[in-house]
Amino acid sequence: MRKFRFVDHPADLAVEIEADSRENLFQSGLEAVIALLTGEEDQAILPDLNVAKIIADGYDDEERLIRLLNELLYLCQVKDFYPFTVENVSFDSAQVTAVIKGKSQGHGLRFTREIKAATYHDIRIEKGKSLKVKIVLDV
Amino acid sequence: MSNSDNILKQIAPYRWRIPVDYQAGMRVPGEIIASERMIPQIINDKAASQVANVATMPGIVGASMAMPDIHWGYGFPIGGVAAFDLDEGVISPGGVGYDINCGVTLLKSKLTASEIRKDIPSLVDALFAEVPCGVGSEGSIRLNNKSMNAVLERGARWLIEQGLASNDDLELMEEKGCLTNGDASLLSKRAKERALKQLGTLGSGNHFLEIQVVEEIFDKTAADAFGLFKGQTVVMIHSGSRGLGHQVCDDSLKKMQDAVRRYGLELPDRQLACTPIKSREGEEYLSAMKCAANFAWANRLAMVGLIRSVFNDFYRKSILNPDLSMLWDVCHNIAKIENFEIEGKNRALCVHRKGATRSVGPGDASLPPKYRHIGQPVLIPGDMGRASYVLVGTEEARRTSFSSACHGAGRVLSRKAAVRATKNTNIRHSLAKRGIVVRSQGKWTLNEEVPEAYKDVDDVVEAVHGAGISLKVARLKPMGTVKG
Repeated sequence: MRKFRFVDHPADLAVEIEADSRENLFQSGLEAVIALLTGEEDQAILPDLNVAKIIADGYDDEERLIRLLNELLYLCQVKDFYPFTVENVSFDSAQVTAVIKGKSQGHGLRFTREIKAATYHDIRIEKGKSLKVKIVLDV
Repeated sequence: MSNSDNILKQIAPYRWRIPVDYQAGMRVPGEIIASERMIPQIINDKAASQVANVATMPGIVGASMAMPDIHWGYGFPIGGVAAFDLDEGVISPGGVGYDINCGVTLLKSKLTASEIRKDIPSLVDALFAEVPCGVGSEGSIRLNNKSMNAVLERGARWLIEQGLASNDDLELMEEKGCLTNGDASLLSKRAKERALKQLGTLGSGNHFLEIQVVEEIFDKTAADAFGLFKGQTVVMIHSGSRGLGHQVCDDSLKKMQDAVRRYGLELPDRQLACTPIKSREGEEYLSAMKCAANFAWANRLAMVGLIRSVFNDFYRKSILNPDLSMLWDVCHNIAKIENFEIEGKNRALCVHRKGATRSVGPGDASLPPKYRHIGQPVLIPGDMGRASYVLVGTEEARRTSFSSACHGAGRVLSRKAAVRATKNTNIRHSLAKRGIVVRSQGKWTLNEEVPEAYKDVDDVVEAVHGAGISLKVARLKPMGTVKG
């Protein structure tokens, strides 16, 4: 199980994520950012997609999550990779790796929004029956 | 005197205090500049809690302050001002923000609004075509490693060296468009990579450029000193350091998350990550931040060149002479070392302004000779439907707000709520009915930036004027706006 929803924040954008595992929590975070960048929550997948790998480390899962989202922003906004889906999220010790499928540079597709960064503001992964986290994105 | 829900206690007209016992760990009180009418919204917004959080940071001096455009940010509130002792205090990238040296340039012209009103749609179209804006836009000035480092260390001066601006421009910019001793070698490859094609680009979100008319003059002496007159056409730019600033902030926050643990700092919010000013990490951040600030000054000045070209080309065959000249350029996301008298002693402090404008009064040695007798122009952009302001800095600001004033109107509606509220409204059409021509790149930009998403800038400016930390000079009304 994994889901995200965008919630109100006066200056920026916030997303609430809920998932039944670390992997799904991180995947859902990535999918939320992709939805914001592309303006689509459920994109039609194009054929012949390229694969990109992003990696982040950190002191704890909160830090790893924010760093991974910022890695995705770098991949998309600087390397001009247009993402469609998150194929896989895996953990190895203090490192998290995500595999993103999308179109590499020269795709001719347009992002609908610029995101400056995922922030560390009040970041805390709540661990109960499911995992929950709220992330504020500076736009 | 009145109190508000026992959180804020009024200590003087337009000045509200958050007592030091409001939250555990507060080292100094909080203080918010606002009118009584604005207080319920400020409390409802949770931003007052962020003012209190900042008050817990090591080495903070005086009070954790917020301007009347305060609203809930991340870590520091937007509209926050905090000064730290150089020996015992900290420096925080979150206290500056991701868009380092986001700021405002104001150009004045020799044109009156009545002379050019009929030209506004064409001028806005030309500006929209010539000034790169929106997501992924690229500038025409391409940088290589060498020129990148020169921009990062010399700021706006680099454009003059390239013949793209004049010394007259430089004189009329805060810090003359360059914070010295920035070391470009401290910036990551990623930070520089982000900036390679972004010099001279507006960006997206709340960034804009706008043709405005001076609608009302409040202080003729100051207006005369600034070269403003009623009915005059002016042009305002709101932009910053683009992707380079974002990356510098992100890189620094990564290092500071580690530094917080290493120095054993206890903070109520991880976005407040900081490090002692006098530490390797602190000095490196300050140096990298200066480079990002320098890029922002060069960025805005590069756009000034493009705007001048548009106006000059447009009126090439006309008897009208635009003569767009710099009135002033301010930064409103920055940390700077400045001197203040604290309890009778002159002290150098590291002043963080996150959504706050410097406001220095008459006689300040940092001002150019032509403004020194009157004070610094304080530029306050409003929303695209109502107004913006020119104010003048005061000596009172030195005493009460670390020489700071507000930076804009401040949001009241989230972007999501603004889109929800205006989904079926043609914003461009409704603004056109009010005589304002708008062009925008982004699909939802106009909805997110609808005037109603902001506090009324008249109220915000009235509060800083009432508190005496900046005084009204002129009200500017939008005629044409370009958004990213």
